[in-house]
Amino acid sequence: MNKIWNKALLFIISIALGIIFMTQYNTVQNVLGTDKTINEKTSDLNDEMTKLNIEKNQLRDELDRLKAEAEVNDALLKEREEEIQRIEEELNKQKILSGHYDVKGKGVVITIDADPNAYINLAYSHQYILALISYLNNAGVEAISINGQRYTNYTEIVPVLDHINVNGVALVLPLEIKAIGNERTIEASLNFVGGIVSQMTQIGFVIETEYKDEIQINKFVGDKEFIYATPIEPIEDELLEQ
Amino acid sequence: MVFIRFKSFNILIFILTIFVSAAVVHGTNVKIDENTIYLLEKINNFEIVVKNERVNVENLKHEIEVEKGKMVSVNESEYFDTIIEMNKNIQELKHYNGFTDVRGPGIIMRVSDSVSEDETIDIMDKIVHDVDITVLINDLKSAGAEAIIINGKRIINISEVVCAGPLLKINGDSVSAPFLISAIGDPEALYNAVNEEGTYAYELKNVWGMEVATMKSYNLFISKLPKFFEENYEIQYAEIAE
Repeated sequence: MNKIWNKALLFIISIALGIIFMTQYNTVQNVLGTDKTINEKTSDLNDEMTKLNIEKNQLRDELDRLKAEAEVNDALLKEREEEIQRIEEELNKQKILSGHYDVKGKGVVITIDADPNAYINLAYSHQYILALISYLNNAGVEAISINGQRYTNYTEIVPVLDHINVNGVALVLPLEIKAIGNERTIEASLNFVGGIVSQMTQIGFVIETEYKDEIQINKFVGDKEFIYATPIEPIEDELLEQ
Repeated sequence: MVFIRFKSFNILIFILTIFVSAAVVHGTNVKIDENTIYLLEKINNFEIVVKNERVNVENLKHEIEVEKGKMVSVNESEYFDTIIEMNKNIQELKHYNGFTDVRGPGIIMRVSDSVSEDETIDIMDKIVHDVDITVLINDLKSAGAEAIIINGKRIINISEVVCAGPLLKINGDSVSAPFLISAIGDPEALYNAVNEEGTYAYELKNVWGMEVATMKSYNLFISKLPKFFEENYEIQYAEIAE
């Protein structure tokens, strides 16, 4: 019995000594670190700090360079976007004027018909239609169509028998003329005393005008080939200006 | 046997005791005085500073990556290709729309008020009116005119030719008789369109006594719309319908 106690006691003592030994070792390691001396550790930290400082400065320079580059890039992109936008606006303007694109906007729909009691030969009165278009242009309209035929730079109104040909398409009464523009100026340009509407009414046309917030005018379908008119190159143009 | 094992155990305890003693001695030998603790504290602080610096460096690296990601590459060739393509389209449309100077064969016409002494003709019928010019333009277009100009005013699809008292208004400017009309196209066709019997110009000359003189030209110059018109003209109401 006594032997067993002795063995147990010695076992506990050896466990305790083992714990004390490891604790003591760990404590010293924790306080002093690894095998390095304080000076060595300080030196290592200094070295690392120096390297980090150099790296940090290089990175800051790189970041500043990138930011400056981005700023220049942004300014360039903005400038180019503005340039493209300006050119796009010019392109849109020319596209709309050409009549080769469907357009929409507020404007007027003018319906021209003949008074049942009057004899109207549209072919003989085609100059009134031409005059009406001229007065619409006077009102600053931006697009015109006659019964769906877009009035372009090369549209002719040809009197044929008792009808007219517009863009080569035969049209008879009633005519529907659509024009996109300002309601008030259109009204003023067409309906003044002795104006084109009153002249046409006098000879037996019945004209109705309806202003709408949105009308659509179809594009001209067809091609125009220039055989005789040669554009003068911009360089030649500049020389002429000089 | 039990004795031997007991002995071995004692030896183990003995060795452990030596280790513990060595560890204690080692612990006391490290000489952790106040100065050491101060230095250790400084090293700890320094380590924190270095650690923060590492974080700063990592943050900078991350920031650089973000900045690089944000950098939009400016594609020079794509930009210039776009500009060239758009300008090419604009140039073609400008030619179509009458915004370029052109040269080519055609006719020159001079139209002025009647000098007829026929008293049966009303005085108002002896004057060249807006509609007369409008019809002449239309006749020239019908004959395939590719460019028309009247007293320096280029005629395009938005040009108005309207009465402005004793003058005419074309492209917003006042124009007085005599009216000099130049048109580029097939000279023969254009000439016939304003000279053949039954044409509007023929009637003006032979019925109403207007002065109408026409000559063919094989090298006419027709100027574009004025620069201020081109620059200041804005589309306000129409937009391209998709």
